[in-house]
Amino acid sequence: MASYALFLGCAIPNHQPHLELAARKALAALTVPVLDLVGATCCPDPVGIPGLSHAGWLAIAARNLCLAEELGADLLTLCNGCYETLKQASHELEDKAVRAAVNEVLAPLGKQYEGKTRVVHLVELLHREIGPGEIARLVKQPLKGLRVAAHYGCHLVRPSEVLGFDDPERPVSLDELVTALGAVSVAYPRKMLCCGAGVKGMDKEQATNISRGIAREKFLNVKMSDADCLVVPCPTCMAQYDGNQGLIERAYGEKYELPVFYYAELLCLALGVPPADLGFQYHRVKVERALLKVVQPV
Amino acid sequence: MNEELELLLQELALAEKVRYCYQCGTCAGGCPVAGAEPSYNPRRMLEALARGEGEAVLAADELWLCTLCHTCLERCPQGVGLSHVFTRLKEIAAARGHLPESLLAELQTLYSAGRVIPLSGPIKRRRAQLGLPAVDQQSGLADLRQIVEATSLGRVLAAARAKGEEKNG
Ligand code: SF4
Ligand code: SF4
Repeated sequence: MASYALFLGCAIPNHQPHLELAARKALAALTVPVLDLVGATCCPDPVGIPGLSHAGWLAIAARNLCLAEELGADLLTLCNGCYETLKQASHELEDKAVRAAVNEVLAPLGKQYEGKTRVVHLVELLHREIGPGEIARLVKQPLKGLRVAAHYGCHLVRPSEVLGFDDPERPVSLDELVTALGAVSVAYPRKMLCCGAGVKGMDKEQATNISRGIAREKFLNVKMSDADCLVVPCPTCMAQYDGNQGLIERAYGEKYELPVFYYAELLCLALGVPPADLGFQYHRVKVERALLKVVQPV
Repeated sequence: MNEELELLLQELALAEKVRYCYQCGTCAGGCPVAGAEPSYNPRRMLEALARGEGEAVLAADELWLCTLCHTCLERCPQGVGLSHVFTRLKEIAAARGHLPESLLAELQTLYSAGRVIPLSGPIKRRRAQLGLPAVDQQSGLADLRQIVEATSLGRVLAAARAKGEEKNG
């Protein structure tokens, strides 16, 4: 297997480090060779920053791509946002003229991007390079009976022409990875709905209301499926569904009580990592009820 | 050379595809923002662009609500590439100083910390409790600042600073 340069981004290490813990433990359990990426910065944010300066966004991304290129490794992201930015940027940088112009910006930093870095999302690594079959084989503690609603998030699959990973409307990768753990991946309406975390706006209050309205739509749809929990591959979706769930419940006078897991957390549990070794205490929505279905109480 | 980069990117921008829009409304039908806020309508924004009312679109607050989910890009039967068009329009609006405060704050954080979400004291301690390695926010920072200053990101930042000084002074 190739080595992977681990690109942590901002949202995971600086906001939800328990997701990094799960990802690192899962990668170690699967013996994936991982290198640290010294000097990495924000990817940068694919929603906000290109709307301020496409050139600045692209050059910052190119610098991050350089770091992995210097290591001769593929770049592994744990976040849909980093995936979107770095893969979109590497796609744009395939154009020689664009690359030459960006390299002029990078030259004073002593960096040149040659266009060699391959960008891989954790879900892509697990699904395409390891495979659900192999993961199923490695499972020690099947998550039997756990009903999981898979949420892909936008930037794992869209724009599909550039990301080229899974179907933008009817993806299967995350569902297959859930099933590989012995859990049930439930069907529910509007699965590909955006989490809404990216809504920004001139009027902050309006933006917040829209963002919450979009997330509420997801909760109501997932609740219809009788799922025990949601699973996400992205820290931004995680912050929206787990971190903001209580606020959204209060704003609408409703109760969802829907635990949210980052996929690597479920993967760790199924691979036999004790729950006490993960950071479940940092989830805002209590996960115990869902956990009790599949693991021994600690 | 930097202007060259910016021009190249404009060429890459998909604005010319705007004229392929035949107003079917598929974009608005699948848009999560439109679903939550009916006054937001990507089809109508395209209609305004086709009518030559680009200035109104640039000045409208709605432009900034797009989450860049790319549902419209995937579904548009005419391949208009709406989400990229909106990003390009945001860029022009931002250059004129029309942008959300929250986004400006994000850019300022990016410049000062190298990340849009900086490391805080409590998270630093939490990382240690979880046995995670320390985050190194310093080694890429000078490079990132240099890139900001060398591109139009720097101009947006400078304009915002000037505006802030005007307000405070
Ligand atoms: S989906 Fe495409 S063609 Fe239809 S209204 Fe929207 S931009 Fe126009
Ligand atoms: S990219 Fe923007 S306009 Fe298009 S569907 Fe998503 S939120 Fe709506």
